[in-house]
Amino acid sequence: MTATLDSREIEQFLYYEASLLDERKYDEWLALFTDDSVYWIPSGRERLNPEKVTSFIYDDRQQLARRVRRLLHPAVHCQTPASRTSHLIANIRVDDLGDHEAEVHSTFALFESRLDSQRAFSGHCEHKLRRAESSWRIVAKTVKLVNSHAVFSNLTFLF
Amino acid sequence: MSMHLGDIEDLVKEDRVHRRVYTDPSLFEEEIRRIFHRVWTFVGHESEAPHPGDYKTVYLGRQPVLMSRHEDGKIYVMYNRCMHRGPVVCREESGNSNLFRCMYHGWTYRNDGSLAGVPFSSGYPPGFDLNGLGLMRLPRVGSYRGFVFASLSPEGESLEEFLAPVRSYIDKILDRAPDGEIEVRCGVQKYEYCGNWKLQFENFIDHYHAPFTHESAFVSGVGEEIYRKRFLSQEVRDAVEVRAFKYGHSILDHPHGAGSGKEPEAFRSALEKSRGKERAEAILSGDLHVNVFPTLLFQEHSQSYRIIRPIGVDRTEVFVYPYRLKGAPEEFNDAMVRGVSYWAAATGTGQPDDLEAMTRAQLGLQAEGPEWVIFARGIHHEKVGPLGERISGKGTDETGIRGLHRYWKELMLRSDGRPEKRS
Repeated sequence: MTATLDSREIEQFLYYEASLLDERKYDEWLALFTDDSVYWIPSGRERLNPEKVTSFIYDDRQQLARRVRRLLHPAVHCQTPASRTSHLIANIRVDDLGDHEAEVHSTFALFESRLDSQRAFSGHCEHKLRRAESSWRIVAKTVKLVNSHAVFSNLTFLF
Repeated sequence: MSMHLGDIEDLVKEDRVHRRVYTDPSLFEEEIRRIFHRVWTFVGHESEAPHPGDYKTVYLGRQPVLMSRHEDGKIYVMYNRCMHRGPVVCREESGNSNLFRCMYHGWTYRNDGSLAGVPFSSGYPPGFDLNGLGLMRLPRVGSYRGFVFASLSPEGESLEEFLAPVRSYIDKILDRAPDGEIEVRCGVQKYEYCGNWKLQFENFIDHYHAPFTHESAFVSGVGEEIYRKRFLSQEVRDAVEVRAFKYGHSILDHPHGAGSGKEPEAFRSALEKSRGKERAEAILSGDLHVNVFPTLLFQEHSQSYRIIRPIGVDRTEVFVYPYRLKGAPEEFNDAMVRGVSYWAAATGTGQPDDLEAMTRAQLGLQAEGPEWVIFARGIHHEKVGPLGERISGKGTDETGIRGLHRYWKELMLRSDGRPEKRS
């Protein structure tokens, strides 16, 4: 089945993913990830091989599930109270990889509020998506913060 | 506001300290002077600068410092400060350059700090000694198994003496490498918290907090049942030994550590091949936390160490360095390096709960009614070593915390901030 890739549908998918995060629907968000997926947030200034250097997050599906399970635990102190987030997504460019897969580049701004503080984050995001039946799913999500070398306190909400 | 020595005597008791120890900005200034600008402090690992021209920049206390490897193969540790009019010469965290050039007037230095060039040098008076104006080296620099330490004071005990109480533990950790060396070039995780630096030092030697602070991490990892049996048990937690030593150092020794017996066969056989079966077995059993006063924290099975950086009385940064064990299988090292952030990063499943605890501590200590921070656990059954060289307790005892404050008090009481002369 060959179908022309619908960029608007992909954009809507990114907005939908962001809304799940903003609404803290982490289980539904996790379900968007395929079994072979990777969620990567590089740290440091250079984009080095995440297999060999430390990253903020470099989770396969299994580890991501454990991370989400922990965030949903009632005694997750660093998220009690929970962060409130608002994702803004823009500059979306879609590359059709063929074979029902797409690579999506976007820019994001994320505002996060917890207790007395509000913080702003921004960066570039890369999604690799795979179409299965009637919906898109995430094969890889990479979040490149502009300040990935910076020193952060609690960064336990999900980008 | 000048500080009277008598203040310190009133503030530090055997089983408690006054809240001011964590909250008083003038005490923090004294700490910077009497501790961070004096004692042996870890700068960096030699493997962070393996080739001539490699460098990294750090802060010792508040002072900017540059560590670099020169073409003679040696590591030099200098003030990161142009000898002309004072700018920081290098602002990068790390890199490679065989010359450091001050952007202001072009003064240029080699990796050993010697002056390579001064533009328009004829403008100086005849006989003016420009050659003496290389980057100033720190008064004392030493290295142990690749760990480069420096002291901003020209006097005091040797590095060897300073590390002696915990040397065998550091050796055990580093001997996990079949080749006997580690490689620290795998990136760094950084975090900060609005709290005093001593809270981090204490947290690392505290084996009491984990089941409560880290409940969500443990339960999501092993499930409720194992959590209750293995983590929420005083008996299990007390099976760990805590020891406090001279110079404020301390260790936690888990007899059946996280990885004991569970390491991959390829790693175990590499270690046995290099050290023999018996020594390999000794190295692989147990799991250590080693606190090297004042800023260096080792976490054996996590294959990482941390550096505490005090910024202000209520602001601290910590850098976590994963490392590779030379001679261990490639995939094993890769997995260990990748695994550090799952617990210890600002995004981690473990450390952020510690940050929450320390942040709350700093907030709570603003209350002036309750004056004392109490660490009396285990003070009634401490065991002093035969030569008085160590004090031991059970896991949940606050032995290590008492040891920190004992040495803190000693350093803060030294009358002019200089070490006692040896007789």
